[in-house]
Amino acid sequence: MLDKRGKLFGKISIVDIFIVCIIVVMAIGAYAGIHKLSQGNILTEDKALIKNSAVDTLDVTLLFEEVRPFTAEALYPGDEVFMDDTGKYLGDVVSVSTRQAQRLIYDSKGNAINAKVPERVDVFVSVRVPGKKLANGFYTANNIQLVHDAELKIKTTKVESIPTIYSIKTVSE
Amino acid sequence: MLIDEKGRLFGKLNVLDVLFAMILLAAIFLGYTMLSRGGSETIPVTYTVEIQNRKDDYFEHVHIGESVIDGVTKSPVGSIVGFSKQPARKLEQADGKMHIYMPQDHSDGYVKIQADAIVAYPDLLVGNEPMKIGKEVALRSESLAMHGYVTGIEYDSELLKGAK
Repeated sequence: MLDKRGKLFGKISIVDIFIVCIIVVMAIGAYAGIHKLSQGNILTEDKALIKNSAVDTLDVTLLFEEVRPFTAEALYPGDEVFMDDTGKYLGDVVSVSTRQAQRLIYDSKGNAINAKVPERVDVFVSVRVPGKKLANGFYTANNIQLVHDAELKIKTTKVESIPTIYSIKTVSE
Repeated sequence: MLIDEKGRLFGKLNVLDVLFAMILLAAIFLGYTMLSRGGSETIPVTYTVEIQNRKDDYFEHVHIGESVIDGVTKSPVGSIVGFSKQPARKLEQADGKMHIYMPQDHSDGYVKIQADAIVAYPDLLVGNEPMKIGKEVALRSESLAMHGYVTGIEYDSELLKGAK
């Protein structure tokens, strides 16, 4: 099969075949990589959560504490919410509500007082998130774990902020 | 013969040269795709920058029509289209309460800047940076250095939908 000069059937060098194979594999890999990039997805979304479980809908309430009213006014039902670091879609805003912000302060006698903070509000934003409650907690469809009181760096078209997760529940449909 | 004795494909092209050319082409395609991910669609946006608690004479240097650049990156970020101010308001704690007090002869200024933003949904890029409410900015007009926070962004949402 291989002659004395390392040629297959006396005609084609083994090394040349090897190099041509590398070129072909690289061409296929480059095409696949560019195709995935053009779809904005270089990392596979095909994680165990999506593979093995049907995705439900979670109702996640985010709390923006002590912000100025113009931040609350820039959040609307229907806004799409994304994770700020990865750009991955989190969910859609369903409702926005506010309350007067309060801050725990101490007077000169050391008494703790829940003082109203003028011109500041706490904003509760309810977001419908594709996700699932598993044995070890709540997860989004992108496999991001959602934990009460954890900070979540998110963005919409107008707002970028770090609210905390105030509540999570599965929406019964 | 596919590859001749001198390692040339069909006797004409050196195999190693073909290999390197393919690597180069792949790198060019990759680079082009990554650079063009931000999109080329632009929409006009008007954003408001709040400059807090400055002496009133500071704001005499805000001039409508002047172009503005980012003070750090030096990228153009629009031109001034509007300005307003109000007495400065500062939040402080005193006597077991939170108060707003108003320093004398100081104002909060609101500079409106218009720019063409690149749509990289959900971001609107001004000067190659996402423009968001609450963002801290350091800008320079032709007459003034400004440091403040973005408190408002306005754009035609129909244009954004079309550019998404």
